[in-house]
Formats: sequence, C-alpha cells, structure tokens
Amino acid sequence: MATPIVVPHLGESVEAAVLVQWHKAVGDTVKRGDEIADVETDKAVMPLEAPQNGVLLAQLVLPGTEVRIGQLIAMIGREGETYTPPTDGVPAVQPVPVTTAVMPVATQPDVLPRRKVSPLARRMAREHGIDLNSVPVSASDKISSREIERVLAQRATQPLPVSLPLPPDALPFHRVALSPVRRATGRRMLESVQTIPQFSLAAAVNASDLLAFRAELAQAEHRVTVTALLVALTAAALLEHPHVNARCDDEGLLVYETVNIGVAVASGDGLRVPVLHHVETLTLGAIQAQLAALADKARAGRLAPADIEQGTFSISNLGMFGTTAVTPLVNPPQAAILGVGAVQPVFVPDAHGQPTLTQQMILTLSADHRVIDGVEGAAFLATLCDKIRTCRAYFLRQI
Amino acid sequence: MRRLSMAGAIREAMIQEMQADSSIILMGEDVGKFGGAFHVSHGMLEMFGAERVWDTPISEAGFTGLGIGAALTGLRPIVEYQYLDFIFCAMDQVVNQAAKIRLMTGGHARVPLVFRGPQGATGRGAQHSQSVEAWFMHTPGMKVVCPSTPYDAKGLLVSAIRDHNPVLFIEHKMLYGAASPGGGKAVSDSSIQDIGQDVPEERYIIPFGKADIKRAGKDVTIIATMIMLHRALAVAAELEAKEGISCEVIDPRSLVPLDNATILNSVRKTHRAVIVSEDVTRAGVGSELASVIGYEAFYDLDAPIERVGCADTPIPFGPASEKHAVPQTSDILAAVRRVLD
Repeated sequence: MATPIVVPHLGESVEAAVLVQWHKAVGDTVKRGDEIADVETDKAVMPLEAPQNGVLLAQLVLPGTEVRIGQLIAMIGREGETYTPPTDGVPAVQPVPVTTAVMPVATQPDVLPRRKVSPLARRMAREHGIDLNSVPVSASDKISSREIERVLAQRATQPLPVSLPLPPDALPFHRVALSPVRRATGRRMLESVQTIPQFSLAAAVNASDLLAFRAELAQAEHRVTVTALLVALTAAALLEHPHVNARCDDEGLLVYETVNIGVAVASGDGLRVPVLHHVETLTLGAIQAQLAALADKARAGRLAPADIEQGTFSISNLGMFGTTAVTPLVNPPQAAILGVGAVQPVFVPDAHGQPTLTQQMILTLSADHRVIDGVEGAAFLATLCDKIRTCRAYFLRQI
Repeated sequence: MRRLSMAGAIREAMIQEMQADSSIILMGEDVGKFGGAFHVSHGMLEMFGAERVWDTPISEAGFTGLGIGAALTGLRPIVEYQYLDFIFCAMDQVVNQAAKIRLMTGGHARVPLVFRGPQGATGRGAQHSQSVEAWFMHTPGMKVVCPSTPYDAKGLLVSAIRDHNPVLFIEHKMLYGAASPGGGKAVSDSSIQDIGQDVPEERYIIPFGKADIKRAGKDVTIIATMIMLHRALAVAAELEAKEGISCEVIDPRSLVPLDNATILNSVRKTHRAVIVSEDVTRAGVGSELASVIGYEAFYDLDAPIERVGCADTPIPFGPASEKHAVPQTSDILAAVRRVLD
C-alpha cells in the first residue's frame, strides 16, 4: 500500500511554500529520514524527509510550484509498486505527513489540478502582469486568450491609478518575478501600515565611545559589529522600558519578560529577519557569534522556522550603506523597531560652546501608538542613547 | 474566358507547353490512344504524334526510369501514372534516382521531370485510393504540388514542367470534373463547389511556395489540400452563415516547398489551427504542418493544433467504410469546434 506524502506544518502562519527541488527521482529507493525535496517558505528553505523506507513512486508537483500545507506531493511505496492517480482527486488512503525539524501535523490532502492555459494566454498574462491563478477559467476548465481578454477588459473599465497616466505597456519595462520572501515582506509591511497606527521619533547620539570601544576590542582580537553592540545595548534599554518590548491584542498589552531581537538581513531574494533569543542572557561575544551565524543562514536562505519566530523587537541597520537616517515600519505583531543610520563625523558645541568633533549616529524608533506613547518612546531612546554614549562603562561592568 | 474542369486545365497546360517547347514529351499507360485513364490527355496523340506522346508498357519502374533517362539527356518528360498508388512500383527510380541525381552531381545534371497522376479515395479500394504526398514530402530533392482548383492546376503545372527538378504533381480524382459546368463531376460530392475561377486561355505561372488564402477569416485557420480544401470551405461557409464563426481557409498549393509565412501569419491572427489532408494522419501532411506551426507560432496558439486526416487503415472498398476512414465535413466541423472550445 503506497503512502501519500503531504506538505507538513512549516511554522507559524505559514500557509504555502514553494517546492524548490526534488532530491529523489521517481523509482529511487528512500530510507526513513532521507531528504526527498526542499521547500521554501517566505521565511526559510527546509528539507522534507521521508517518513518511511520504500521507493518514491510519484512526484506530484513540479519544482517551482507553490504547494499548500497538507497538499499531496508524492507517494512512497514498495519496490515494484505503481501509483495510479485517483480520478476523483482523493486518495483512498490516509496521508502521512513527511517529517521536518518542526512538529508535523496531519491534514487532509488537497490536490490542486494543474490549470490548462494556452501558450498564447500564458504569454499575454506575462505581458500584462496578470496572475493566472486569478483568471476565471472557461466553461471547459481552460484559460485561453479569451479569458485573458476578459480580464483586460475588466481592467480597462476600472479607473487608472492617478500615478499611472500611461498604460504600463507604453513605457519600456521588464518584469521580475517576486520571490516568496519579497511577497512575504510586502504582505507584512502592508499589514503594518494598514493596521498599526505608528509614529517615529529620532535622536542623534554621539557614538564616539562606541566606536572607540569597538576599536579596542578589535585590537584585542575580539571583532564585533556595530549591530552586535547595538543589539546588546538595546536589550539593556528594553529591560528598563518593558512597554517597548511588548505587543497588543484585543485584550490589552502583552509585555514580554524576555528580549528577542530580530535583525534585518538583506539576502539575494529579499529581506529576512532572523531573531536572537533571550538577548538579556547573552554575552557580547555570544551575541556577535549568533548574529554572524544567523546572517550567514539568512543569506543562504537556510533559516529554520525557529530562527525567525518569536521576535519581540527589531533592529534595521542601514548605516553600513551610508544612509544617515532610517525610518522603519513596525514589524507586526511587535510594537517597535529601531532604525540605525550611518556614523558620521559632526562638529557639535561642547559645554563651553566650542566646536568638538563627534561621531554621530541617528537612531529612529518607529512604534505602535496603541502600545507606546511618544513620551515612553522618547524615554526609551534617551536611555539607549545614554548607554551608547557610555558603552565602555556598561560593558566593563558586565565583565 | 472559359470555365474549365480541372482535367481540362491540366490538359491545356500540357498542350500549350508542348506547343511552345518541343523537348516536352508525355508518357504513361494509355495516355495516347485511349486518351488517359481519366481522359486528361484526350486527343494529344493526334495533336503531337507518337514521337511525343508515348503509350508505355504496364511497367511503372521501366517507364519511370525511361523518363529519368530522357530528362537527364535533354528532354522534359511528363510521366503519368494511371493511379498514383502505382508510383510505388517505381519507388527506387523516383526516390533513389530522380530525386537525388541533381543534388549528387552538385547541380550539373538536371532532372526536369513531372510525375503526375490521380490519387484519393473514390470507391476504388485499398490499392487505388491512397494519398501519396507524405511519402514524397519526406524525399529530399522532390517538389510536391497539390492543386485544388482548375486555375491553380494550370498555373502550377506550367511551373512544374519548367522546373529543373523532379516535381510530383498530384491530381485528386474527385476534382477532375470540378468547376466545370459542361464537364460533369467524376464522382458526385456535394461539398465540391463551383469555385473554379475562369481559366485564362493564355499561359500563366503560379510559383511554388505561394499558398493561397481561399477564404479570409479571423477565428480559426484551416489549412487544407485538394478535395479537403473544398470540404473545409463548405464547413467555413456553414459556420459563418449559422454561427458567425469566421474561418480562414488556406490552400498551400505546394507542400514542398511550403509557404510557411502565409500559414504562420494566419495562425498569429486566429490563434487556432486545423490541418486537413486526405493522407494517413500518422506522420502525414498534418504532422509536418503542425510541427511547423507548433514551433514557429507556439506562443500565438490558444488551442492544441488539430490534424484531420485518414484513419490508420488501408482505404476500405465499401463506400460506407470508406467514408469512415476518409475525413468528411463532419470531421472537419468537429475539429474546428474542438479548437474553439
């Protein structure tokens, strides 16, 4: 009896993934625990493991296809067994989910039939930026140019956005497919601006002490990044201002009693935000090491669900690109995020009114006004700035 | 101008060319005294004498070889087969000799030769009913011509006679009498319409590789040859009249060389193609045309290309069985509906 393989639970709020590649071909012998395929969610690439020994009888989705949690993707059976797809789309046996690092959850399989799209319709959809999944099929369950023309006609009756006085075809352009990560970022940021009443506060801080301390550490062969130092200082500041390390729901505020800081990392296919957990318990060296490891995994697209979940606060540092100030959008469901600009040499008056050269950094806190008021935000920023100005003393106290 | 039957137009092309060029000869079984099995060469023996109109023994391999030798040594023979099924008796002569010699000699030897004769299913059984075009489309060095109207037949045959290469000139039995108010129809077929243009008395040339759009349309492209062109036109007229569906009907006129451009331009307009030919569907005319369209116009297609051709069977003798094996208007109609689905 062949065993159906379905897409398992892949982490919180993950509804779909892309099957990136198959590691086993039809007819290959598989052992329990063998990686049979890779799936990519909007957060990470994860291998799917065979739940039992046998032979891969069928691959039911093509690489690059979006699959939904619980969808039937393969069959495993005995040597010599064959798999005939059921005509009514429901397999006669109960599915067994494959295993991943996370807990598998058995769900009903959901086999989506491949839509019949004519080559012309496919080309037109690509040229006009139409998502074929959104096109209603014909009575005979196909998509031809007629169905696409219907969508275009509907579009034509809708008012054009004011920012686009010309039809897009009139301008030279090319299309770039959105990676799952880009799509997820887009969804989350839209959710952020649509559902969170957010405001931003900025402060310029003298980071001379921070840089000097970093240079001293470097001389002692302890290399740390500005981001690692800021993660440590932010965690300390958050412990003093717990409402900034919180979120709200319908019942009120959830004030976290530990600090998990997500750090935005640019990877080839979009923005990923790996999370350092329980930062208040970590030494600076541990923060630096974990951050480097997570950034590597993020850039390789190999973050596990656990690496990206349960953040309570986020930091987005674009200083290394020379950006003077960053006004980030709150990363839901968190209540606040810190944007970090580049360190710049600036003359500021000292106590006697004389110009003094300082290394200045602009920090911007964006916050959910349902959770934090301006005063609380300003107080948090002031604490953080104070810790940055005196960071040597702070870290030395820790040792 | 006069309206001529297809047989009359072919006869006129041969007579006029032979009058103009004394190197042209006609040979075949019964082409002289009897005037041809389908009376296409009626009266030509009297007109040109036994020197130029030869009644040959019943040996296709023999007289085909004779024609090839004559062509190589300066004549321009027209070799007639009573039925094109019989050209298979001369396959070595046609395929291994006629088609290859010009190319093997780097063009030094010319083989100006026309193989012509009737084909098609008309109630005559498995060995007198075949459609041979695909065999010779597959033979490099051969040109394959398949007229569907008297006007095209005359202009294309003049081109064939003047060509320096072997040309297979295919005549459909059922079309010999078409478009000839006086000539009668060889076998009655309601789908053969009197579409024959008046045929000019003077000589004219229709070049090979120029398809003719027999009916302009915008919804579906139907590419059809010979008798199937007439059936396709009947289907197109019915669909337009009853349902407002507009079919463009293209007659390739020559299968080798093939006018890809006209066919592809049409498919790029209609996005749907139905290919109708009487030869066996498998590895036939439709297969070749479908692959050209599928490759060159893939991203213009809205439906799988339909091939309508003969069933995978020898043509049965019984008339009812023959109708099942050979495409009828109902088969073409069904294919058009499938691509429009």
